[in-house]
Amino acid sequence: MDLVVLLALLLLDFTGPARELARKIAAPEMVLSQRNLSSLEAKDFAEARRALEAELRARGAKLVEKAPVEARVSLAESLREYVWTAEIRRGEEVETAIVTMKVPAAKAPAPGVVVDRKLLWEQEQPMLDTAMIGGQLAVLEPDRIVLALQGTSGALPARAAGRDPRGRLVAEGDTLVAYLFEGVCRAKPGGNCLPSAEPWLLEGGSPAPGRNYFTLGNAPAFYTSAVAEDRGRPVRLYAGVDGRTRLASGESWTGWGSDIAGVETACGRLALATRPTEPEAIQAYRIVEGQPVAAGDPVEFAGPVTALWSTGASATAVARNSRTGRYAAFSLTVTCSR
Amino acid sequence: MAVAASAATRPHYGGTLRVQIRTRVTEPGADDQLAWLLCDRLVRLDARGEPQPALAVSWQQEAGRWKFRLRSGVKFHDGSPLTAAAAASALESLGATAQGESIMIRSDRPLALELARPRYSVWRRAAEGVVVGTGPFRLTEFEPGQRAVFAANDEYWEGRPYLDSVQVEMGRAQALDLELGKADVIEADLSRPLRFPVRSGPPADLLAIASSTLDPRLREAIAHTIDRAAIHGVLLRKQGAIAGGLLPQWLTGYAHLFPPARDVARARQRVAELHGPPPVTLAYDAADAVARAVAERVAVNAREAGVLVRTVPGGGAADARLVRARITSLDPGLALAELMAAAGQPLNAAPAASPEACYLLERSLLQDFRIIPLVHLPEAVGLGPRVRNWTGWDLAGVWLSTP
Repeated sequence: MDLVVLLALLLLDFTGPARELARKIAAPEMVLSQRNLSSLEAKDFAEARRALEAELRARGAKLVEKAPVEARVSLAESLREYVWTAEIRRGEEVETAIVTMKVPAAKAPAPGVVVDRKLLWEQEQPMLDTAMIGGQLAVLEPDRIVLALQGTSGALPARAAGRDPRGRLVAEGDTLVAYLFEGVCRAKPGGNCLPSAEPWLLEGGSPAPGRNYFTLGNAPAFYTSAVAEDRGRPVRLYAGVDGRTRLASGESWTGWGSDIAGVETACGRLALATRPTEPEAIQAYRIVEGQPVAAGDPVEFAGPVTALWSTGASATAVARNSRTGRYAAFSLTVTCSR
Repeated sequence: MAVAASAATRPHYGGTLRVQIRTRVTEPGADDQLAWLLCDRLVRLDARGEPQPALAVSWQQEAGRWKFRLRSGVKFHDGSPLTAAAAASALESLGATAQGESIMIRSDRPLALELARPRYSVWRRAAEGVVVGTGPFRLTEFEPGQRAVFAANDEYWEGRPYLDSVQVEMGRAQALDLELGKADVIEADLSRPLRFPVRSGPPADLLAIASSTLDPRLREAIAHTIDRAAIHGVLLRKQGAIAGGLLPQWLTGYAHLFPPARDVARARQRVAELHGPPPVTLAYDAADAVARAVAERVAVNAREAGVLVRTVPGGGAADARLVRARITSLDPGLALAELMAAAGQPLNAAPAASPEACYLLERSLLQDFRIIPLVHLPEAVGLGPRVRNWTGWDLAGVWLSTP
């Protein structure tokens, strides 16, 4: 069973609240009616209902269709809690009992897998990028580098401090190199990342400190750049902060998102670009005579794509699931059939 | 913490956001929209209402004593460091004291929830009397009740906001200005159809009739005549929620235990007992278009039971008042106490501590019809086409698209 699904089931354990409510409302013979006023799905509500009935029986209550004691139970929901209310009628007298239960953080499982993308890792904390080193997945977070499976981490010299923190993680032999807008640092797996004087040159420009874009001389500022191919020749593209994507040769267009990445394929080097409209997606493009041509279907995500970086033969995308709030890193590969 | 934004269209830095609000703010650090720009709080609430670190990086409660450890390296807008002494001074009303890099507060309530409210913003007065906070924007111009201008705080601990500046006009919220491109954000009037996108928060304003002086039978008669469905469906165009109780369902989860019921026959019975009821004056806030429309509807409904209700604008002497009270606490016990205070009927007991106690208190408050809940209204703003990533009055994450 998927870990997330298991976690959600464990978190939705009604036993404790059901026991507490049963303690408050149980009678030797009683009529019980239950209704769902919450966002719980029918199967989860059925589980809650069974839990309450079981706890009432465990207290010796006999649930019948007619009795002097009637309990009308509603499972409702506030912002922070599930709220079980019970109106207990004993003749003319009506009492009310209320029991609450925390709404679990993860109510739903992550969505399924989409073609051409492979889930690398998923976690609660924001991820900026990932890299494989020594057979392990390293995750760059805004303030540390974590070895995903081991859980060991090393601190960054400075937190990725911008409001839209961005960063890249690259493995060089047995060393991880973190490129942040605040500077570059190097770390051994699990160790702290030590400042390095080297510049961030991967994107063909310089990161603007405290911002989320790069600059390159007098050229328009850009969020990302990528190398693709146009008729066999490498071309560099820039995703400008003004919404235009430009080639170094001067051609430009709109309609691409802010993050782009180049990937090697059997058909040459293609560009991947985020889509500026919902639902969030990444689309592959060929560049033909200075103009983009969509290649294949877009790959959709269950929430905002927050990063897209090239790793050469593939790209790494990070997306935040809008329902669960969890971050997932994907490896994107583009298979090309001629 | 700031988190990476969507790569679909990354946020743009720069630009001035032009805002119009109805409130006339006289003190920028007080409990209002401007406090969100200027100040931080020790904690903030996430989308599920759970406290998350802000100026405090961690907290713990032990034996009724809360300890909040402060974030290091945070500065006020005048460059002075945020110290435990400064934070404790800002929270003096809670009895906060400084202890090393932490502040201590005695409370048996869920204090971390409370400290997310703007009224517990951390600010201080600089030497020249200017209010300085640690928030995403610093105040550059302020005309009390008229106008305020804010500039981005480049040193903001969570990253500089995207906007360069924010201009706020007070006492004005003109839909036309939004439509003509003269404003980017206005407080919306829910009683009028709007031709621009409106973002609503949870229905956190209670609209209710408050009266302590009317004959109880007359209060009950009026309560039974009110057609909340029409108020909600027609006047408010289904925005917000019908209120049978004082606190909304999203806050307590038990509001369904107070189903609003219209019973004109019962109202007539009560009126008959009075042998000719006197006319009733119902006051409402003249500046609030929703309140005026609702007051007039209440008067029309009351007539069905033979009660003459005369609506009067303003806050002068009246038999009953239409009150609009905002829920700003996620602690139902405190929220209820504040609602009653806003309605001019302060509670004499300590705020309820458990859901059941809160429910019983609310039920008892409703029983004598001194307060008659009508609807819960959301705070709504109209947004111009340039505005992106609006999540509320914390404008640090808002940005403007390029034309």
